[in-house]
Amino acid sequence: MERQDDELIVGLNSRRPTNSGRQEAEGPFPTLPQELVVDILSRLPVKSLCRFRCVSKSWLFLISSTRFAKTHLDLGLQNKEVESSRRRLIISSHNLYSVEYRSVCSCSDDSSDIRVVELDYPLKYKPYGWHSSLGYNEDEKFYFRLSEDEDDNPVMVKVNATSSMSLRNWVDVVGSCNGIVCIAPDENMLFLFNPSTGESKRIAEEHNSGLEAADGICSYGFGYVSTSDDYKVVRIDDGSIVSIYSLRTDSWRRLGNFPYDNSVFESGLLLNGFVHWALNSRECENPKHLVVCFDLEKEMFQEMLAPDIDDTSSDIWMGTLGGKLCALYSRNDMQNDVWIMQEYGVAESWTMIVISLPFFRMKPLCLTEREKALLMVDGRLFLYDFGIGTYKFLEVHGVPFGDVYEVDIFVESLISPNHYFEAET
Amino acid sequence: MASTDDKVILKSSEGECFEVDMAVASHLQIVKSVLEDCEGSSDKVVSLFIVEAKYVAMIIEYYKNYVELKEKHEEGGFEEKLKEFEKQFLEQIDKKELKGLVMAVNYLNAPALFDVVCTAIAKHIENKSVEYVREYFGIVNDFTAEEEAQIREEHRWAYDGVNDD
Repeated sequence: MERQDDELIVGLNSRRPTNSGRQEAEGPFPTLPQELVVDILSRLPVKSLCRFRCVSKSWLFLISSTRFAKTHLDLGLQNKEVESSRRRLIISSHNLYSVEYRSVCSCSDDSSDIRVVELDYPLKYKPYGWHSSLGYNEDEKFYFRLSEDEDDNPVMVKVNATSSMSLRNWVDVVGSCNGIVCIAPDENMLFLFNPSTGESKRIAEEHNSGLEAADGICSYGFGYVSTSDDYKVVRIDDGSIVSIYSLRTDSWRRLGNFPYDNSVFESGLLLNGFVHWALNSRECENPKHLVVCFDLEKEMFQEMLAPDIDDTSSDIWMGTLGGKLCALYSRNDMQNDVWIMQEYGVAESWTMIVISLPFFRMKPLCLTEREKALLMVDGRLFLYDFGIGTYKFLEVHGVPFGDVYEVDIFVESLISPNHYFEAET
Repeated sequence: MASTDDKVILKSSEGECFEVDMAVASHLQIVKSVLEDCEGSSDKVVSLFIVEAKYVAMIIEYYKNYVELKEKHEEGGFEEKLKEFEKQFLEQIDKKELKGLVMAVNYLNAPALFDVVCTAIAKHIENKSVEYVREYFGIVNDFTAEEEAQIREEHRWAYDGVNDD
């Protein structure tokens, strides 16, 4: 009897009491409250979410919202397992492809089950190189003008160029962040592209911002600034002028001169909100190699010491592995050294690991489980085992791999490059 | 039938009583805070008046195993063992019941199980058709046929590889 008085009732201060309570009482097939729908949908892959846009108006509204895109992204950043299921490789090889990271790393000996998706990206169908100077006919034959006859009629040669038509322009991959990949499908023409949803936005040209267009080879860096919720591209042109693009304002600003005498050509490497370039000492007054980092938030350059490499004649370049900064250089040898900065920003924490794999050029892509790393070595993909020092070549069917240009990692997301500028207007 | 100090009785919406260890019940944040608020009361009966008995039983089963595994694998390997158990735990739950369970877990504020059930529902619908998902969640299609066709057209590739069983 006494128990009745002591009985404690749960429900008055619960997390979401009224909503759940009322809904539950409605019948055997209760409708989930909106908060729970968000919790469930934020665990789905992008493909499912694109499909479920047509479930109902409220789902379409939810899935299209910037807020949900961020919730969905954040879940992947917090949860390792979700993150690894959303990880993809983007492969640039006269075309762009995306591959599920898991399918690359889980394949045992048979790599035929690696699923490759050919992407639809901006300027994909722009004629490639010299093909653009030729006529193109619907029967997939080129007509090439050889000369003129006496009556000034053109003499044409018909070329069966079906196979070579599959060649497209090189696509430069500048970098990726939060599921948005910055690509340059044509010289100095940049796009922010979400390979998972297919959305893209062309980055405004400089003259729209009252600046002269850059010519010559430029180096770019791409990243996200959380404090202003903005995506930025930093550019160093061959006259050493530094400019910055903000997606929020959709415009370029000139920042000043690159404070070093070195020229940089490669894309800068993004880590922790900084874009990094390695400067080679032989061009510096200082005999050491140097890592220059551009703070995307403060829009300033900083520097840190590169690892102490005796051989100052070799090129060094930057990479990341398992969220740590790496410095790489090639000794053109059977063994190469990879330097890892164990504690970001602390030059004393550079640690050398030996990698028994010859390369001229290597880009670490990511760490997989059990001391293995996915590496891009001289245009080919390798799975390297740090534990026992062995490596395996990974063949990805459907990609002409001898011809690989670049590989980068991205996470699939719903983040739309078109929601930032529009949000302010 | 006096409860000992480390036991608590959870009462379902039908009035069914479940006696559980405090170590298990304290994973339900809502129960924990109610008990803390009413410290000193002799008999500890917590009425979860909107949660059906079958869900109370599932939640207790999950956290009983959770607590046991955590104790047993203090040295390491807990997460792996928990994953194994979760797999087997989910296998015995009807897909339709996952919805009721997720609401109950959300209401009782039990984060670990909440994540497990949300992930299970997401996995279940991941490759399902739009029609299946509407039926599963009891959602009425409020698009006209033209509107729906247009939305489908925008992401046509997303409709490949769908299964309906």
